[in-house]
Amino acid sequence: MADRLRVGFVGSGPATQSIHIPALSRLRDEFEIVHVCDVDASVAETVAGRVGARWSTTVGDLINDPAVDVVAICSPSGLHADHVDAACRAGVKAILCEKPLATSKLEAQMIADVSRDSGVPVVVGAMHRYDPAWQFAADHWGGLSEEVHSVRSSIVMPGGSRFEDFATEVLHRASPGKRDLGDPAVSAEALRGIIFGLIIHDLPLVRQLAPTVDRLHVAEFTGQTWVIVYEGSGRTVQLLGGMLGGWKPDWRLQACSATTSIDLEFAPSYVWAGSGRAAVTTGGATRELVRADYNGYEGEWRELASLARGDHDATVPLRDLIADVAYAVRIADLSTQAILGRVMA
Amino acid sequence: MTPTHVVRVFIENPDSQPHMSEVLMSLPLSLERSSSVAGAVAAIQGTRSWPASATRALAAGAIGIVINDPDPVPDSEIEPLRAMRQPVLLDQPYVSDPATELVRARWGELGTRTLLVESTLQAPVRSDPSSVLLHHAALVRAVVGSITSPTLLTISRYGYTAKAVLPPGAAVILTGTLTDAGLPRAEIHLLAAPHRLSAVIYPSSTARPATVSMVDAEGEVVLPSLYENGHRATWRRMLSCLADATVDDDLDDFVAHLATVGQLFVESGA
Repeated sequence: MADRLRVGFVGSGPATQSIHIPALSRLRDEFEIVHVCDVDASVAETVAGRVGARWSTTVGDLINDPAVDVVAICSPSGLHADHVDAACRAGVKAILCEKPLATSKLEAQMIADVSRDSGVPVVVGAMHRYDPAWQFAADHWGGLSEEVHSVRSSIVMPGGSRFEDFATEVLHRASPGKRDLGDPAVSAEALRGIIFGLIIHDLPLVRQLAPTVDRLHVAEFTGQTWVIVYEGSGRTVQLLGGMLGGWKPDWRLQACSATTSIDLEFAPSYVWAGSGRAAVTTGGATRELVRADYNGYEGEWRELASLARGDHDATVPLRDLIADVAYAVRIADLSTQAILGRVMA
Repeated sequence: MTPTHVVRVFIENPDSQPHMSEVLMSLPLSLERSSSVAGAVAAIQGTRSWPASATRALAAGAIGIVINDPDPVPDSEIEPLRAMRQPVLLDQPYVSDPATELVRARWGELGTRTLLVESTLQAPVRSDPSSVLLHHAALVRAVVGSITSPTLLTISRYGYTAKAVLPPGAAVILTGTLTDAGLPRAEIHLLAAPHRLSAVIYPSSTARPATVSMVDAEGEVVLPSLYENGHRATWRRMLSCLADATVDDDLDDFVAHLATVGQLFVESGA
């Protein structure tokens, strides 16, 4: 296994522990983890110890480690751009950046520039783009992407850490701070957090079906439920959901034209339940992907391996990564403006 | 159980109400067809003049009226009918499905504070979006009761999106989608914490049972499948009204419903 790709993790919090280390344990023939970095030395040391890797507390130590071939950026969202930039300049073979790639279009453009100039490919961990359910739908929907008139993303989750705990035993989980959601500014920021932290898994898919965000109709957030309705490219899009405390997750992406509909049902984040389920219905008949054995997390890493080895060009070009960020930023900006504006009015 | 007496049914314009044949044949111990309206329940198709037809039937001795899929009409046309204080039931798409009452009752029992109501209705491409919205709003009102501040956000030949408020403040989102991809159906999802009540309801053309499920912190309960379509459920309700000598309040609800939907179109200018 001498040609396995050697992975370094920037950040070793719940995403690294619950998602990526289990993913790589399923792809042992492709990857080995050689370096784990975290600002908390005890977390870095413990997580590294689980996988037999060396550890450090600075990004510089990791990206300059000659043993590291590919870097996974799992740091806080606001640091992604800086860390991707540093890894590109260090000349690693490829980068997996957790979602969101960036929190502004400017940051995204900067990442695209440095990726292009350095020749280091970047994969973004927006898992549903790499889920076999989405691939199945896209392969079978015929002209839906041109003819679609309505798109609905609905994410109902129990909330809390239940699914992280299903995936692994998480070390050092940060406790959520208390927020005064009665303060509109706090509420608007919390909705922005949900857009960039959760809904963003579906936004690249939604953007493929409704490429622009032209007019916002509704943006409401109760602290536990949200609903955003907008029109884009002549399509009506709904993004809604809630963190309800009920036990059952329900994560759906649906789209419809006059002749064809798709209905995708995804597993919750973190868990290893295989792919989503996909149904493509035309004329009363349905073609269905029941489940594939791997999910979007594995899909991301498989893509990364192919890019690092130069097997093919990126499935998602840089211009799409930038457009994805710009799309999310526009939805977040319009939604938060609507919430704040309603209070001001 | 054998009914104590058979209720006679007069069908006005039978060709416009083909479903009545199935209703009569499937409730043969309770209903029998009559060629005379006197002493019978009149089945009337809900085209524009239905209030006048119903009023005439009652004046001619009908003991009750069932209106199938009533068109919107001014309050002033309904008022004389209400004043006669006879059982007048409205057989409305989706609303009449027995699952609708099941959902309403279960949600009412919970007494939880609703955070979000979301409902979608999928109808064939040829449908009139305004008519679909009329049926859709009726379904939502039948489940959650009165809604306020209705606003039509979008409407086109592909469907519509409307928003309203459920007191004291939960958003109610109604989406109509016109497509021939799959079966027509209505979905309604009521979200609270930790409850989520969901229903998928089909048109009255078959007895395809709705699926109704309730999720809470302990698990999920799937409510009974009721293999009874909305037409038949309405006629069984009529039998109960006659047996109990009650009038029911369908007309009052319908007037309130039209007022709500009227606001949608007035405020949007649609």
